[in-house]
Amino acid sequence: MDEELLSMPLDELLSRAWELRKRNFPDVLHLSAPSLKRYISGRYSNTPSRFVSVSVTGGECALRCKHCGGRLLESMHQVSSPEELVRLGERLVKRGGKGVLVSGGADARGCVPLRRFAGAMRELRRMGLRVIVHSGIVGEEDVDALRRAGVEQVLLDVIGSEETAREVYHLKAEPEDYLRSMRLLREAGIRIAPHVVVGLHGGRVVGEYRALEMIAEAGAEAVVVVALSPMPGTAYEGVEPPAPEEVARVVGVARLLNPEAALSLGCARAPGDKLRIERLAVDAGVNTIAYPTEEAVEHAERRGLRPVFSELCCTLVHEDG
Amino acid sequence: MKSEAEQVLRVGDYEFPLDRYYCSYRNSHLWLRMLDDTTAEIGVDAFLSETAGRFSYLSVGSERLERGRNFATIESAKFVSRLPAPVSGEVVELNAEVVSNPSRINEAPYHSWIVRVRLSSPEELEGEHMLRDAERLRAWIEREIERLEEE
Repeated sequence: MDEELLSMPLDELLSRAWELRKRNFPDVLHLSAPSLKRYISGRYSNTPSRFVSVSVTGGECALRCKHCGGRLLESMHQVSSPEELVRLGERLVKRGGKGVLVSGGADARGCVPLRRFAGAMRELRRMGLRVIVHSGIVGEEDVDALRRAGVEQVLLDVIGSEETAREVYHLKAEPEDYLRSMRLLREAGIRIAPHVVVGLHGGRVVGEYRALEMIAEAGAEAVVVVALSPMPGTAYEGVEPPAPEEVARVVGVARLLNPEAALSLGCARAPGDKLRIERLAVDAGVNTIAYPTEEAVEHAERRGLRPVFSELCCTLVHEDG
Repeated sequence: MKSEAEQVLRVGDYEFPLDRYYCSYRNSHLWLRMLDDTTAEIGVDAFLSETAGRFSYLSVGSERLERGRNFATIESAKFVSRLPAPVSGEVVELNAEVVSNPSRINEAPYHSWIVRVRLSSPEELEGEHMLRDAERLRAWIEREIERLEEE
């Protein structure tokens, strides 16, 4: 990692990131509100069932990571067989659904068991639904199955520290396993949208910049930064989340390392810091914010950006016009 | 015969004490209870508090409420909403305990007021979205339950 970026005053870093954004992208800020959450604001409300998240393992996850403990699966639609996934797709189409994020808990190797759902995902595509998946580490067979399923995009959390993988994910994996996964997907022609979780290691920034380096090396079309939001009922309940300025620095570095990628501030950030994180993310040159506060949208407008809302996932909205 | 304060409407799994108004504007599910002729407290009803999940964030952004304009943001893992003011007026008290622990609303929605407001236009209580009559309230909540089931 370029030490200059890490030691540069935050104002200067954000200013460089903003200038790059102005040069490379139109003056639009995409705002994403998929149906994972009901989103109601004065400006925009989303529609239930338009773009939903599905867990293919129900509420099961072998890893029980410290920051999640399986809680994130609770708010997803849950299926346990390919047939159930197809039936869910049929219901969604009837209600005007546009797409699905297929996710789930991981097995002990950090892989989400998506392979046996490949046929069902192909069927969802045939129904006209957009299909993206949230995978863990993938191997060649997984990639081949995802390609055959016609999956449009693969989201994966990239961990840049072996210690974080072990301590937080209870996983014996190295950062290079994530780099290898991203490369395999890219080589198969599947678009990737890697996620970096700021503060994943108990609120501290540990492997985030290494993760960003690997993402830049793999060449992602979309990059998502989220921030730890300690959830009740998890091992991280009560943990101090990363400071908004730390999140902003990661966003700014992500912008500078990935000058052509669509950069998003994704779904998660600590509620108490939302506003400050979102404002700084705008300043750091993000293209998209998921579930934004109205204050952040107003801030973006003051900076000359035109807000455009969408019900798609944040990694897809820049294609939505 | 029960006093007004004791009367509770039950619709499905949800309870609605009939000593207050319920705001159906934008399906905001806010309740408003008059404390005296001009002062009221405002909170979230049982339907929203039970269906939205455990609230993790509540922020009140305005000291002055204008009917229909957003005055607060509330969020859970599967829900984020700006809350439109049911009436106009000046905030005279903020419930700091509920703001810092918004899950209190889930535990006791009708005892967890968010703000106390001095109404500037009490006639707004007669607006079409302010429901107090049990039958109108029941009809709205039944529609809301139907909407939820469709989702």
